[in-house]
Amino acid sequence: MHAGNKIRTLTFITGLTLLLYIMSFLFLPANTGAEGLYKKAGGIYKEPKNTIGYLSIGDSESTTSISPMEIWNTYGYTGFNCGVPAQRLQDTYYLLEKVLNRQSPKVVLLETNACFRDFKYINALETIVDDKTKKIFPIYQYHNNWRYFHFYMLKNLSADVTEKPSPVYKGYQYNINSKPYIGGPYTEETDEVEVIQDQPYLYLTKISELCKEKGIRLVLYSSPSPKCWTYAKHNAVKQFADKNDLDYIDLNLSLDQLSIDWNTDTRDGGDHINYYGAKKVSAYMGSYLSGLNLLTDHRQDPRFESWNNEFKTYETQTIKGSK
Amino acid sequence: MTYTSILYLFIFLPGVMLLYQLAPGRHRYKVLLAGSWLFFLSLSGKLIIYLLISTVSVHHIGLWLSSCKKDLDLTGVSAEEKKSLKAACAVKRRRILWLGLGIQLGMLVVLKYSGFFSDNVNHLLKAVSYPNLLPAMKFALPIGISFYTLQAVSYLADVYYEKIPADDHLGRLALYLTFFPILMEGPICRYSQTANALTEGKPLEYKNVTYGFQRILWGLFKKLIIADRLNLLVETVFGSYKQYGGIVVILGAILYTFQLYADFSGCIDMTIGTGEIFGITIPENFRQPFFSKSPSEFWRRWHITLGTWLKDYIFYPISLTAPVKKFGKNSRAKLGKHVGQVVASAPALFGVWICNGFWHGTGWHYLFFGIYYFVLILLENLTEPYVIKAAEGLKINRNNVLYRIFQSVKLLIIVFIGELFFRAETMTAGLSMFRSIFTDFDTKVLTNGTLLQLGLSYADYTAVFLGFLAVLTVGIIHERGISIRDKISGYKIPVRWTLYYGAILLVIVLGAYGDGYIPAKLIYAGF
Repeated sequence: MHAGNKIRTLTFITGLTLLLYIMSFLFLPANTGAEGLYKKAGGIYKEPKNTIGYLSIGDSESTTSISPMEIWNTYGYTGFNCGVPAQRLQDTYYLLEKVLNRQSPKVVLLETNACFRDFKYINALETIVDDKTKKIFPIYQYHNNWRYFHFYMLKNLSADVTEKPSPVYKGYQYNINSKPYIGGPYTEETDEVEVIQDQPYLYLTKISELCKEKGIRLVLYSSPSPKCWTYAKHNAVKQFADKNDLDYIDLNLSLDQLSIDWNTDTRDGGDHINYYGAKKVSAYMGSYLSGLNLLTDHRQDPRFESWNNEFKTYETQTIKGSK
Repeated sequence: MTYTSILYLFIFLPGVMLLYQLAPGRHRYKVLLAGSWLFFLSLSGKLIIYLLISTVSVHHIGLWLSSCKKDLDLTGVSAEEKKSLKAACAVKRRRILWLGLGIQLGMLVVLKYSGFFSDNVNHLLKAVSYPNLLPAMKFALPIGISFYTLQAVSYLADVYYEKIPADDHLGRLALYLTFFPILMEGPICRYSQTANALTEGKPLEYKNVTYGFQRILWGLFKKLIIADRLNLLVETVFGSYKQYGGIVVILGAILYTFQLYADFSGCIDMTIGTGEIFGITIPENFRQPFFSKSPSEFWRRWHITLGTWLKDYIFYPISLTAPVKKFGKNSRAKLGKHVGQVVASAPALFGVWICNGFWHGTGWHYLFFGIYYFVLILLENLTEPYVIKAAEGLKINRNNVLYRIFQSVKLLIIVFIGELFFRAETMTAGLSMFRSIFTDFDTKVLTNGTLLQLGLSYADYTAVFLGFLAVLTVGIIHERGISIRDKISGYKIPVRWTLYYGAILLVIVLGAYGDGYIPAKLIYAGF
């Protein structure tokens, strides 16, 4: 290549790097009024040290299934939903490890869908590259905020409900979208056992060992999901739970007890549950946590007043949303 | 790793470019081959064994076909012996060809179609109260098998018909089959189009690199801004089709057609652009298909390389078989020149469209898709002279704008219906959706907010609309034979770079990826 062309190429790439770096600031959540969207798992680091009694971790099945505010209201337990959509178990493990540097929960609820996430080294490499890119050029992570620009700039104007980012309460993103599941019963028993691939199995074991080491009660649970769940997967998790002496709550086998209505309780045709489903699952899991007798009711504790305040906002939102 | 990932665009591709440039000219193809196999491994892992079997067998059989004729020694042999030796050689070559085709197509059929076959046999047996005869078969498919198998078949057929010499260079043949940009979605290249350029080892040139990246950027624009965003709505409508009818189903079919075009042609842009970077001309696969006036013209502009492949390796061979030739002769004699000729072409045309349907997948709806176009194109061929006569009789100018609009609208309706069945999850689902257009038509959905419950917000619709306008404008300019890239390269640097930076920012900002979007796979990579 000609020397002039080499200089031109380098100048172009430098200019592009600078442009992306500068443009990134424009898209940061704080500059677009869309902070709520990004308060999910990251918000746990803003909680005061050693104030969280239980954590729920896993992929989107975890994100959508447990609302800590519901459990707070009934039992006064402080919990945080650290679920991250599409998260693989190794990332869940590292997230948990990091969170445990600040928090000392008594219970960790691990949603099991990620045990069956297809693992490929190339995907792990892609995640690393994506994460690095997001750090260097936040525009790559926050680019979708372009749609909120007008809310920030014209915040006095009312906007369409679908354009507003849903609020997040202790890691749980409130969502009342509803799209029925129409596939019929899906819990037919079988002896088949789904294989948990080596890599997820390794990190499932590591999560279990980490919890043992820290004296945390690890509980495996499967959120209701006709699209993701199978009996063969249940059998695989059950085997792991039995082998490691862990509790396993499969909510797919307790649908009647939960009163799940697939016409109203799923947001996307049976893949994930919506707020109405999460309310039922949270009630069930709250009762289970209560039975463990490991957590403390903090509702009357003045140090946790902010939780009562956040619940008031949550309550207002959910009552308004359910109308 | 796909063509739209950061890993591919900013690490893999620049890495291959760097190593390619650093390698001595005669070894550059090795960099491309190693990169292609690495790319294949990253997507299909140990299934690379199928690719290696294909490559080695194609290489060996090509040489066998060639040597069989070269070894034929006719010196000092009588005319009669010559004839019998030539006939024996022809028979042997035909058998070798069939062996080669058997290996290539056998792997494709077993891996891709055995599940469909066993399911249907078992269904039939169940209907007559017999237990399942065949076990349920499901194999993991190596990436690009439908594409590289067709390339392998075309190579063997071309060697057999002596259009090209057999290649003794295993590396070149391997690269021809698996060059990483064409691996996922084609286009289906012929050996004579790309093989030599792949091993030429030309150094990277500034113009090629800039033109290549421009084309990649345009592909990313179509894929990320239009196709992946429309995916949200298409998944909702086709995934829960029982809930929708009328206008929503029509919208689903229209937007799926645009999604498919933006996805497939966007990927082909990225493929052609990557080829350009290395100085390799990869054949075009689309030529503004929505500007067509008839189904046959549409298919000459849409997935061009599949169309020409089917014409060369299915249509002509069937047309030249003795029974079809005889059928053609009889048809012409009994039905007259025009009708006879159209009827005579029907068996070969039927073969083409059945193969087209099955190539795309193993559902009955794919087969229906093929037969749908077979019937339409046959009817078009049959009625064409009568339509011309009628237009003349009614004094309608066929070049008139209104008439052309009528033709375009008619064609678009045909295409949308075809794509509705093509995208439907099953044939039953397709029929149910099609029926619901008429039985559940309600204009209320336009005003009651339903359209905002299908996965797209106002902002998404706006982004899609703007993207669509850009594609339409570029299409019109290309249709007029103007090269936009040549125009841009004529501008001064400040203008040119502002355009490039603007386009890059647009793709990054408006791209439908990250939070709130489902990572959408390349549609044709699944076929």
